[in-house]
Amino acid sequence: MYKDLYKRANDSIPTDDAKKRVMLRLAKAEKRNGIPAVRIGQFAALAACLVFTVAALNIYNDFEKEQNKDKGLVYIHQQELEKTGTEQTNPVGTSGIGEEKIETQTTVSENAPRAVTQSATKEATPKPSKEACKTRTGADINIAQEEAAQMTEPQAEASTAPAFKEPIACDVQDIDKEASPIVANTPAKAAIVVNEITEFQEAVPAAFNVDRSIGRIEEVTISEYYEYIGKDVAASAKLPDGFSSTTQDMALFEVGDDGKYKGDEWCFVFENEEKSVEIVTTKNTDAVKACIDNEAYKKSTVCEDEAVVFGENDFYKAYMISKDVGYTVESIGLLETELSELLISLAE
Amino acid sequence: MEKALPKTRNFKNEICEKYFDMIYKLALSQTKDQGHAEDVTSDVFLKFLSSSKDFESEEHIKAWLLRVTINCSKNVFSSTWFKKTVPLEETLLAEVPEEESEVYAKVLKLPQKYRAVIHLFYYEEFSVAQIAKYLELNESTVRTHLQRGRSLLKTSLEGEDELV
Repeated sequence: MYKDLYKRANDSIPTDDAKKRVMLRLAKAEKRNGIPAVRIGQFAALAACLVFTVAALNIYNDFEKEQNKDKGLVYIHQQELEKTGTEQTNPVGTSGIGEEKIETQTTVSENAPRAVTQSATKEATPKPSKEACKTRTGADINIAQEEAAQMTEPQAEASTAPAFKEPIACDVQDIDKEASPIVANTPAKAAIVVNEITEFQEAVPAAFNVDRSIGRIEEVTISEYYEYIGKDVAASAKLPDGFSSTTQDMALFEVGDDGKYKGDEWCFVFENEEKSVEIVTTKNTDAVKACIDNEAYKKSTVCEDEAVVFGENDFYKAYMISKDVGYTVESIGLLETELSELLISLAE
Repeated sequence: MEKALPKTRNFKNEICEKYFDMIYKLALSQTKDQGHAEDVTSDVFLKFLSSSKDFESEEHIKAWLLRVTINCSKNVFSSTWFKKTVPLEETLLAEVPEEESEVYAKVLKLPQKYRAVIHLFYYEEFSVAQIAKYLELNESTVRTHLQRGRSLLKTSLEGEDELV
């Protein structure tokens, strides 16, 4: 009865006007955002103009400095440009910052005015180092370094565009605690690295190769299930205050000829007014393991177990195997630290 | 192995036309607001039109569209603006005949995740297995959501209990 009422209710909602508006919006967006070949060429031309403008500004700045500032300071800056200009194929460092720095400065050095002549010898290092600046004042060194940093900052940001969520670093060891207070508060037993969720992401089932054919049906209570997987999930799961369990306390499992359950996933549900957590457990860990072993995903560690965590806004999905039980944890509204504590409590 | 479906503009526009109602009504059940539902639907189809993904079949497209709709609807809820405003459910319910509006209103009051499953199961008449595939959930999760959603709906319609 409710089904029919709900169907009729939905059928009665008109969609024609909404459809017209949405289709019009799509047509406008298509017209506005289309990037035919001609426009790509125009964009490339615009980018070239911007590069030329930046280069020209750098030349002007150099010329101004030459006129208005300490000549020794200007010489050091130009000296660095000349050095990097000869090393186009040999970047200063392995980071993106070094490479971008060279690209910009190469252009500048080729056109830099050579009017300034100094008797100081050229130094070997391309970067403004303390050794090269020994005879200069401390203030001069700071100004030079700041100017070098200013030249490279925009490129540095572009070159280090992360594929994964910032500020948490890609490698567990490289997590920058200063940039992310959340990481600083994470319990030491876990190091969570969050992968971004994309709509192109492949779905990860709870279990592979599950035989869903109808076999002998057995009623399994939640207590029996805890014995089966070796863990009282509800009692172990550490959640913030205010959560209550709405997990079913009984399930019907199909039993194969070998006496084993076919499809042994159990979904534990915890929720409060605004947040929810679902934990699916299974002893068929192949699917979760395949996700954890996928090299495309950055790994987290939870009590020496490996895990993979995806996150977007206040939604997290975590995959973990602990003591031969696969866990798929989905949360809405939890903080990352709360998710971390939950995963630790499941793994302990 | 099936060939990937065409990526021509005409084909994609046909898909948008064909699945508009399904996506719009799912978005409506999630956002409870016609304006937001239109925004979500536009976002979903814009992503589809600009996507370079190889879809193996129309089922694959349908699953992708449904998943993206749920995700986009979640983004509406998490926006700061949304948190400060109240969805105009009354406007939406005004479109629905009185006999059905009570059930519809109670479904709208269910938690979002139950609403999605209830809507896809009861209105789109997908099976549990299909819903699990479309929403990237386990079948047991879908069954739990259905069971819980139905239980809450029943309690709400037969009693005067407040839904969570």
